Amino acid sequence: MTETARVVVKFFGFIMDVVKKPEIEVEIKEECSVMEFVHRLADMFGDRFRERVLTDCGEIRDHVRISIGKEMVDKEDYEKRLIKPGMNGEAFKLFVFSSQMGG
Amino acid sequence: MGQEIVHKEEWVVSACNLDYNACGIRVKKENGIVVKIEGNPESAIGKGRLCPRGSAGLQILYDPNRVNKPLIRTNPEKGLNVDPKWKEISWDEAMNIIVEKLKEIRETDPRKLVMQGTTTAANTFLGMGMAFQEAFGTPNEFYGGGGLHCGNGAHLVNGVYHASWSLVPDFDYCNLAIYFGASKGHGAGHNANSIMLQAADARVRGMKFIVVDPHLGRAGAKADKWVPIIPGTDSALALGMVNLLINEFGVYDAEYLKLKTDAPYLVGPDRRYLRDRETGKPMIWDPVDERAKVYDDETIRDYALEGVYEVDGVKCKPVFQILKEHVSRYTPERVEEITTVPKETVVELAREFGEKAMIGSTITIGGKSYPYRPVAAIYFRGSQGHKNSVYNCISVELLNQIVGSADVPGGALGFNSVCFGYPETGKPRWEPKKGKDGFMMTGTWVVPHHQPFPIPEPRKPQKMGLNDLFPSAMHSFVYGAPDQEEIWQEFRLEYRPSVIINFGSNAVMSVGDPEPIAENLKKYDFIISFDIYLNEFTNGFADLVLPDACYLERLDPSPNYPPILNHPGGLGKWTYQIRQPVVKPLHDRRSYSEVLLEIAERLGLREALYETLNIKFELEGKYRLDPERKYTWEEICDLVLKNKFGDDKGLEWFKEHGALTWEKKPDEVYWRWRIDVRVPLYWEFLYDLRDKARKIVEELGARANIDWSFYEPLPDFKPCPSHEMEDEEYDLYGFYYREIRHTNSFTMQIPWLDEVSVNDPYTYNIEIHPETARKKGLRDGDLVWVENPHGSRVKGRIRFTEGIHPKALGFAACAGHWCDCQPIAKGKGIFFNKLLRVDWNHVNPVNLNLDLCVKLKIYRAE
Repeated sequence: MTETARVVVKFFGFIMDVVKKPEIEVEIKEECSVMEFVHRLADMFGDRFRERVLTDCGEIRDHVRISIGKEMVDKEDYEKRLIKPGMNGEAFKLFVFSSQMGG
Repeated sequence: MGQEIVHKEEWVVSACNLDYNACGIRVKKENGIVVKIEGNPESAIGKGRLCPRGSAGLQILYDPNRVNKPLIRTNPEKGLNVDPKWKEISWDEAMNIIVEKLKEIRETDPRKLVMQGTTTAANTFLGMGMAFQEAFGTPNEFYGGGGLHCGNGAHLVNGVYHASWSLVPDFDYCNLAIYFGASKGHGAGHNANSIMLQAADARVRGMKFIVVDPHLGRAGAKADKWVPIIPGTDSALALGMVNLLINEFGVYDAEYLKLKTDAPYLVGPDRRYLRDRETGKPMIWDPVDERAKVYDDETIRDYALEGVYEVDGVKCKPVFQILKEHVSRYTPERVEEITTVPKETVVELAREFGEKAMIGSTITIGGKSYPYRPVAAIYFRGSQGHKNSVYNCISVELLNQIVGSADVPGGALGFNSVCFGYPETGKPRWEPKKGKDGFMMTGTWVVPHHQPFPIPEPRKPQKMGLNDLFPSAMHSFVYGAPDQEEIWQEFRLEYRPSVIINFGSNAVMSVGDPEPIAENLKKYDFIISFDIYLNEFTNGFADLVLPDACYLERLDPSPNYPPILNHPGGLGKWTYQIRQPVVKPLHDRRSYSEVLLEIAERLGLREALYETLNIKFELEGKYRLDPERKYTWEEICDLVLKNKFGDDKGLEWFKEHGALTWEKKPDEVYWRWRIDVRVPLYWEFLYDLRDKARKIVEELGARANIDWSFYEPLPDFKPCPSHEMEDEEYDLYGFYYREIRHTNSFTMQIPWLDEVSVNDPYTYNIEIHPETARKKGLRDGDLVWVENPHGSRVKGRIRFTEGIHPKALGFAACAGHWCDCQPIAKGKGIFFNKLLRVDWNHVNPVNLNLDLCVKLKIYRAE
């Protein structure tokens, strides 16, 4: 795959104060894993995003959930599941829940 | 001829909400009027029984003091005794004001919103309340005193050890239960009505029951033995018992310790696990092959629990060896000195616990053999409500772990750590799984996106309570701290919360000293409060009050889900039930969930809310909410139910039948040996938390006096401020206890409950031991002041009882209302919380648990 395409990214939850807008488009040139894509978003938005979404070791934090369109991506599949240009019109959705223990 | 009187009688099945147990109920209506509430025998949640609160619930529905229309504050002044000068407005006006306020902060900084709830209606708040919070994008929630006082420590420790919110004895098979500051099955607490029946049956069967508590409450009154103890010293007694078991009696379940805990993990001189250089996994010593191996090496032939070993030139010991040495300091004599429990009693308790554990025995249930350990050590709010909360809970839990009684027949059961789901759909389903270092991660938690273990990495605070810096804290004291602004400045909180949406919490009364709370609340720009009654919080500080539908007027699709919260443990049945409106909301009352749904719609948050609800309720396939269309709350509830139970069991089915019940399987209840997980005796991960949190604190230059010694991996008795009080004038330990007739602060307004409370000598008075009183020249019934070292005092009458430790004073519940709008409750009982300090010195440095015990002096009121 060589052609450039855009992926719609939607943000939900405790990240709005960082990203400022609920939806962006990200240009990708080739397939990448969900993990790589999140790191790319972290590079775009900087340390505040990184701290909110990733652990010190660079893993996606437990209180983050990701879906592609209507399908939730299992934590175990973050390295395997691929983000593809276009994604059949499906948005990449990133949910950051408040990192709390319970109620 | 007179008119014929039509008599229409109708029963509606629903779920109670006079506390968060949410027992199944049947409500009788005559000609549309609710006349009676009974327990629903078809529901495993309550099993047809109802407590005094549940029976009296209909008085809430028709109370003339209810809030019936939206109210706007016209007096700009705020304060504890300020008249708000309420003015009635329409719902439309109210919604316009709310949307305008929320739009403003959503656009500037969503973190400024605080969602405030109450544990009383936790299952409602955990549904739409928290979904709205997440959709809005704020990290801030607060559960009032019901949350802060309740279980930061117990829930954390139960989560780590039992994958559950809390703990009960296996009443079907347990032969000895020792309670440390708990009342499970005897009063308040998780699913009180069901487990009261289980506890009573267990006592008839012959289960011995011992209660360790400074107060002879409902549990102690039904026990074989009550062991009075100085408040907050439970860890010393428990560690003394552990010392006797493993160092004196040699009673421990070696197989359990080797395979289900970190007891064989090697610890080096740096007090960290010895880890494999390649994998980073903890190592154990195989005494057969005489070499170290990673803990899950398939070639392991045995695990060393004791001794000293050398691995690559490093001397190390198994955790169990270190534990043995650590607890050896807790001799019976030292335990007596700390706790006042006689050393002979300490020995007797340990010996009996060890003997009755029947280590090595098995039992066959449902054709399958399980380890049989019919002893349980249970802890809850009493033992955990102290500065040394975490250590108190771990220390008691060690008793279960040492004898291998966790989640096996007869032992201490998490509820409900495993669920195989409704047989026809396999939903809902969860069970613990293995995480880092082999340790257990919960299968479910009160929120699906978070778990008690592994504890998240500390972060520079984004939450107003600093919970993200102290990430094992569910609830935080900062809301009520007198130096709140200084704390925020020190920890460089980037914003200031400015709007509260409150749901039923009377945080002015339930947290602690109300004066600093009042000052903190005055700083908010706007406070919206959903309430059934006006109260001290609303009158003092709310700008807008919304007339909330009570539990007999509203729909909740999952009042008992997740069932680690309030579904009975042990064998028996699963029940999934709904809470449905028994009558349409009276007057202009509206349901919290429906109003939030409308607010989200008006704010343009539909997609965010729906997607959050999809995750929260685990909606899949055709049951997912589609942001392209708008749903009513009823439609959402219907999808939530069908998603779990199939198309034929949607809202209409549940409205008619009320409850869906199926059998529990023994493997769901006694899961410990079936699932390959371990639990930590040695909380090595506290070092990582400490190091990261301390680094952030230092980087921020915060001057907070945090005692990092609370992050040592093995529990100790660590004195609380009350234990360290040197002024002999303040010679009595004051604490409050949960009273079965009351929930948090709001049930004193219910006339039937007030009537029985007035007629009880203790509920609205102060308990004191007669010997203590006589030494002070006080008589039964005297009007007294009790005062803390900071000059806060409350007045009340003392009543003599030998059912309290001679060095303690007992206060019931959260009483002492002063607000005119609750005329039944006003002036009844003692406002104990006024005596509590809400500051750094009175919280656990690991989980910010508030210390609920205070040293007091007592003197006659002239």
